[in-house]
Amino acid sequence: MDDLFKQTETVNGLLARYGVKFGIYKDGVFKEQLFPFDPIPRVITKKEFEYLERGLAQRVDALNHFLADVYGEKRIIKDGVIPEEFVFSSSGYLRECEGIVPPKGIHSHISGIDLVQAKDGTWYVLEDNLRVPSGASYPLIARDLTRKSSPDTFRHNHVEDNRDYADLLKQTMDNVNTGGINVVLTPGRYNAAYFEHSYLAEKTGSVLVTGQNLTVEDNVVYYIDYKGNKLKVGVVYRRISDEYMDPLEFVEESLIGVPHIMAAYRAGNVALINAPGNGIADDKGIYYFVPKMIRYYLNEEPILNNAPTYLPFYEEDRKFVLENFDRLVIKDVAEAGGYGVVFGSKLSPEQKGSLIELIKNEPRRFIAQEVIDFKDLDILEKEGRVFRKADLRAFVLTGSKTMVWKSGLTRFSRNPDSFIVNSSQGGGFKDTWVLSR
Amino acid sequence: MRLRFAYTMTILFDGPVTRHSFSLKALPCDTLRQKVAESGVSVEPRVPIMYTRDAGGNIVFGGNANDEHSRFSVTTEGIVETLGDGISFVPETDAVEGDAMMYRQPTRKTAPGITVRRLAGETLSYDEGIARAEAAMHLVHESLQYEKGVTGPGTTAEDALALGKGVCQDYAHALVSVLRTAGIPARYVVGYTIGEGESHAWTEALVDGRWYGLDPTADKPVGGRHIKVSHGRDFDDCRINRGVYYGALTSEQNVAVTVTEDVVP
Amino acid sequence: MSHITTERANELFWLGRYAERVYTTVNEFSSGFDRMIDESSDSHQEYCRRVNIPDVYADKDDFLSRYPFDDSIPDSIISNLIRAYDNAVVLRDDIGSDTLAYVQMAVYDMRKAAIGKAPLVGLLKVIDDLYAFWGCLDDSMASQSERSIVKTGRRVERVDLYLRFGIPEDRIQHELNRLETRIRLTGLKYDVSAIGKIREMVSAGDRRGAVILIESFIDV
Repeated sequence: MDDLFKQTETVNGLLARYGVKFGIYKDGVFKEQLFPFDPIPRVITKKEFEYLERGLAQRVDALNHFLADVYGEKRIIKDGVIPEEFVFSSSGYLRECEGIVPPKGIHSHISGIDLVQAKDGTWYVLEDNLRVPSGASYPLIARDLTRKSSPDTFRHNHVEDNRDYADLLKQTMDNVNTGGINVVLTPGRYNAAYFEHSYLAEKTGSVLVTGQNLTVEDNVVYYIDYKGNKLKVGVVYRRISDEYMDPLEFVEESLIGVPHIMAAYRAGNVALINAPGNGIADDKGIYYFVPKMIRYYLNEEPILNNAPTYLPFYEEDRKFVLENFDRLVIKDVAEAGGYGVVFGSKLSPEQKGSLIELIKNEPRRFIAQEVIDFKDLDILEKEGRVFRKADLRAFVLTGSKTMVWKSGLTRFSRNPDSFIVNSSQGGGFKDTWVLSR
Repeated sequence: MRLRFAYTMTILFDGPVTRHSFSLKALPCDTLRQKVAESGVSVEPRVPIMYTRDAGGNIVFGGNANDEHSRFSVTTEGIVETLGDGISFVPETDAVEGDAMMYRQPTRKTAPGITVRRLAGETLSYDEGIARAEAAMHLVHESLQYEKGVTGPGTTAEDALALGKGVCQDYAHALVSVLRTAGIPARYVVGYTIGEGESHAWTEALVDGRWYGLDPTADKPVGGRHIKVSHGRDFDDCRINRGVYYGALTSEQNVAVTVTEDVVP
Repeated sequence: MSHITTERANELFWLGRYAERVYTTVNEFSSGFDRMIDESSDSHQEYCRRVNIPDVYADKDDFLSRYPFDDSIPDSIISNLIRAYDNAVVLRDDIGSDTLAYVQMAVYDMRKAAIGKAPLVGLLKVIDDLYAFWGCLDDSMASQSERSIVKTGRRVERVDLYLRFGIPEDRIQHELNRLETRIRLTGLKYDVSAIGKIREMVSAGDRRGAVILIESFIDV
């Protein structure tokens, strides 16, 4: 692997050449930044990955059952497993999706499950991302470029080739296609993940479109080309969030959506990847119930652990949270992307007092978790190897069956004191190797 | 009664607009209390119309007026046969699976505050059923004074009750909120009624597996003079028209609703 | 993929035009630079006048250092290259990541040339990137009509610049032939009689009229 480290500059040069960037807004101005790449891969053994694979597929299957149930019969609520307050008052629940059975019954086609490994080696699921999980393109292209830069490394290490992601994604799209072309719907060039949108469109042979390129007639979605030909669209891999999808049903000011697309979807004439309304299943409050879902729908014991979580909604948990406040991390369920996460121990007495007051008044809004003692990963900095917090986003694709991509996005925090690894907060990424023997 | 209705919405833009997509919930549908004998839609400029149903089962129609225009109008009209004398309660529809669960939950516009809780508390001495719903309707009617211009589309039930004033939308929200707080699933309804000139709003309560209409503005059960168009958790689920377009910055929108008794020759 | 929107057709066309504008202006600049090394008076005004760009430069040296490299000047070469990049970056799925990479590299090489002592050597790299861009585009873009839109943009731009630069008539007629063959393959709407008219205008010495027509005869 030493050769690979020597080639760091070569790899970074290639990443720059291929424009592997993400966009950020700084002082109101859009800027594209290269996503810092660290050459030391996260290595997962074959056996360990088989364990993760089983656990992830099980989890995503249960979450898909939950989504079908919550927008359909609602058995899990009627049977008292999940209190109705946690469903209907969640901002992730979209009544507009009530009663809709998406093509082939799949709600979460592409699931990004965020895991961390503790010092004792135990893996914990931190978060499920079932709406528009991003990031697969980075390890995908990084692998291609590291193989070019350091062929010897790959000759001597037996690593599962992760460059099948585009094929998996295409199969996932084709599986639910209702007849028509595949498109990737992007908010446009000034979106943080535009590189990914265009790269995945290229690699899956889909048409990259913005909302303005699509039109709905008679509840069918069409793409109109420059010669005036109308082409039916069978599946939209949309990289815009639910609330901007259809200005006639959600945020009316949205200029990036497609008017009437929800009507076309409701009529079964187009598949949307992922289905709208999935926010109810990756809500931070619902997270607590995922192990219960696995038992309820699959009649199996959960393979993967949740981080130990408490719901102040339940009196017993609320008491525990208030008594153990200083050693817990408190999350506001309404916030995403590393925002709204606070460590009890790091608050001033006044901040602590007002947060406790808020928890007492709006217990439904918060969850509390034990702080996991992360197993840090080594990062190559100029001064040598240093250890930093990192997580792993595993990509789980549900087509005719649920498959786990043999790789993943490992993100790390560049700040030695930070637990937060989101790229929007200045982190970098690593390739994730799954050993093949 | 046999009612003839016409709803017309006209938008005058201050300049040309293009790629104007629109969607309306302005057509009545069949219920236990009303049968639609005739109905039709016309849109100017003339473009193809598509139909769908929303999550609540309401009829939605819409289209795309892509070519340049500076005036836009939609008319729905038809004939509806209605039941009810406005004195006794008439079931509107049977409840469907999940209704009770869905319409028990507060929404942002119907979240209870002190006033709603107090009114709900006052209804608890009545039987949990139509009697309690009726008591709630009287309480809401008495707590509000009809006045235009003091509330807006964003006003919550609690705010209107605290103010003590409002229009039919506020009456309907207030009753929805009080009923839910008193343990009765309730929903917001939009419709047309004789002598109103614009659209009307009222409330439905779920009692013994059926939805019953209550008009808190008139303090009467919903009856023959009411044509129901849509229902939802609150106003937001029932917005009559939505649209997006490119072009003009300002526009003026006019709505006219007429409901008259249709005399069969 | 063989179906693109009007918006995409427009981006492909302008990608071709800006890539060509950079190519031809870099070459023109390089020969001008060479001449200006020996000249003592300011001669850049003539260049600005011909290309119809505002002369915002203090003197010859200011022109030589800022016209190619200053991205705050809208008509500088780098600004045109960035426009080519802006069109290319939204076309990744059409032209392919490898083709796009050459435009990206041209931007990097242009930035490098700006800080070097011998800008003309740095600019040679930019020209290399552009040759590779056209080769890669030819090789990897499957749809002939889409490829032809980019190349039509290229030909239109070249005729346009040749008209402005006072290039001899026979070379312009040759470029018009290439444009005429190419545009037929695009499926774009255009005034079929225009190329003939431009030929006549060039023969009659009406270059200004020819510029106006070449810039307006395609509906894209």
